[in-house]
Amino acid sequence: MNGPNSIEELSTRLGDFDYIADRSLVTAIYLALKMEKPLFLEGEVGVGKTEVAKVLAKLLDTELIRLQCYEGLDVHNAVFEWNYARQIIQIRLLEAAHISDKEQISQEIFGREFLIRRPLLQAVDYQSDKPPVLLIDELDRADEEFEAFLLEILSDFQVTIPEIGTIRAKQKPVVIITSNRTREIHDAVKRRCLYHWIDYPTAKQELDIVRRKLPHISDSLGGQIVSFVQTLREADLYKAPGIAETLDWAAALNALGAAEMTPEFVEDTLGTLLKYQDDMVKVKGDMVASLVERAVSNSSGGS
Amino acid sequence: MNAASVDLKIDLLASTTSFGRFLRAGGLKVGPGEILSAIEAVELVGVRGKGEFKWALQGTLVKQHSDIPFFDWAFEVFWQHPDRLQQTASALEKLAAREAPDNTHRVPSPAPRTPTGRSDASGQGDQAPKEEELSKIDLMAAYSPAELLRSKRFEEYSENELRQAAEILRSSDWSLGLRKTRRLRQGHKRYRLNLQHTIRKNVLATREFVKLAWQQRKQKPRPLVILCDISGSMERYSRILLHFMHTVSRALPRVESFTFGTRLTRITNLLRRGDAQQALEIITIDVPDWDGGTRIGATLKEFNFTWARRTLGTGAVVLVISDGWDTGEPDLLAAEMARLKRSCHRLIWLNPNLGYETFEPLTRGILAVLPYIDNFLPVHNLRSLLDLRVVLKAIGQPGLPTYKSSGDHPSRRWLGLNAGGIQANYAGAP
Repeated sequence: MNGPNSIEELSTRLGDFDYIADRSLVTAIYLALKMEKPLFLEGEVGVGKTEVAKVLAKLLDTELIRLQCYEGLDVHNAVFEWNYARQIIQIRLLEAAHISDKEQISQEIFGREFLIRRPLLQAVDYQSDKPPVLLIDELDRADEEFEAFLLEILSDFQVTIPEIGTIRAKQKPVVIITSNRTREIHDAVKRRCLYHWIDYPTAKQELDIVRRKLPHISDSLGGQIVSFVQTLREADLYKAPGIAETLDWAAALNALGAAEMTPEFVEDTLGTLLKYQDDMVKVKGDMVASLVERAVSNSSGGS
Repeated sequence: MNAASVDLKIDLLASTTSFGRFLRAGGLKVGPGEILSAIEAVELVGVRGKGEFKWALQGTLVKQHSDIPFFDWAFEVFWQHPDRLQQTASALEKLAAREAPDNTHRVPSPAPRTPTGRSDASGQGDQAPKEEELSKIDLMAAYSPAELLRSKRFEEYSENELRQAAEILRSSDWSLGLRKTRRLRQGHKRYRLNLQHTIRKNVLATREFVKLAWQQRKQKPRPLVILCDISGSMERYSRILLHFMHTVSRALPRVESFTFGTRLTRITNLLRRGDAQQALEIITIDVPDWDGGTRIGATLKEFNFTWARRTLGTGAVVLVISDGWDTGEPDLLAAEMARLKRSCHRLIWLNPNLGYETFEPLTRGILAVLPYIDNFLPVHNLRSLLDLRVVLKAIGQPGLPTYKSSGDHPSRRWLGLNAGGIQANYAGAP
């Protein structure tokens, strides 16, 4: 693996791909790569958990295999499924050839070529020389039963198909699991992983992120945006904005041609930042005015 | 078969018969037919393990779900000594020798000297009803003082009664309505075709696919979240309510428990301890605002902000236990109740004051929350807690009345619900 050889190197290379991570996260990623263990990322919505996997795939120059979790996700959608249509056709063909031995037909139609590879099997049965990055996104959305399927994959990087046998990964994929913590994930899963909680970024990091992702935004507006969001996160909101919201908002203000932050621009674009009506009602008006004032004076005084 | 085992067998038959009579004295309908099949069942399973032996007896002697708690107790009392078989055999002998009934017995006594010993196994109901009645009361008194306790208000409980009530709660069945999940399992309901199994089953079919394998949606119990007020005005109820929370936490699969007064405290982990008394002592020390004031709105907000997303995800049922004496802002309370209502499947409010005939839901706190609750139920005595089981079990099924759907006068609506729907369903349960 042409992976990074030190935490510093990893940090720099993540930066090359516009991912600004704090030291603790870089360390966690580094350890996950070196120890060949899955990395379990938890954190508020929109702090860049999924992004870690995307950037890692680019950084390692390999494929990203993504499994989006949802309620009811089962082995047929996550690991493998038989290609029923092909099986039926094959049975007909064998019939036409007057083959009626049950054993033989079974062997024919339950072979590897009738297998539909879902993300987990794809990641384990990966044929290229570079191991892929496997992203198991929002695991908390899947139900508890699904976690049991994961155990075999996370600890042994293998998949067992009754009709074929056990398929083992030639090289261990880099596994990133994310959770928004809408429920607690079972200890059995966590135990097999390295765990990291991603927090909201500091003002400096966030400004860095905004500049890298949206280079055409003026420094003064960028500073105001970050200052505004950072203060807003401390307010008593049902859902505080994440980095994703900051970037959306910055893009929105930019699209409206705002060179400087004004209460009017903020009110018009608040929907990109706040996603609950209660929060909107609370922030609109006086709070926006005072936050804008503070942001403008902060960023001019600070820089 | 050697002599010893023949002896043992006779002992076993005798003691099984005697156990049957013991149950009958406790009010179970055990006739000679039941005793014969119990003996047959016991012979079939043997007495290798206590479990099988017990199931054999229970399967043949118990016909009603509500009799199981008594059976459990009777089984433990009757078979607790290793030399029980010997004892019962000799006790039976004495019993047969002595014709006169013995009214002085108390349960648990070493041998089941029941007054029914006066007649033979087939002679049911032909003895003086008074004696039968007497012994039944004796047995029931030792088994559970439930009848006396059920309608007594919690605040009038003595220490001893509190313990007994907690025991009754523990021995009752608790279940919560199911929720259809998106997960599938093999089944007969035709929700989706299971192609893998269908193909497997029909590999040799020469013409069309004939045997279809189906999948149906899996059901799961809903999560339950309990928010219990332990402020000053609720002090009289807090201990029995903690017993209730402890019982439910252990009886249902996914229960999160919180107490609140001026602030919210999660006690889920404390309640997972096996020993209720121990858990309650720790809670009393740990929970900072025990018997302080109440700020329901602020604590609900704390719950909504920090816990709702983690605990209410999959169709949860929320139980708020409070008298609604709120010293905070009614607007905040209403807003947070509205949010809570939107995040859960069913919101049930238990109020001890509903037990008073003259109670009118007129305090600011209650008026603020009324629009958002699905069931407004009393929690002033053991019966009201046991009645709650019916509501919890029926959640998700059609026909469970909601507070809003009944059109009575506001102060009577909850009474109508309690006296009509729930009590009617409830009749006959223990």
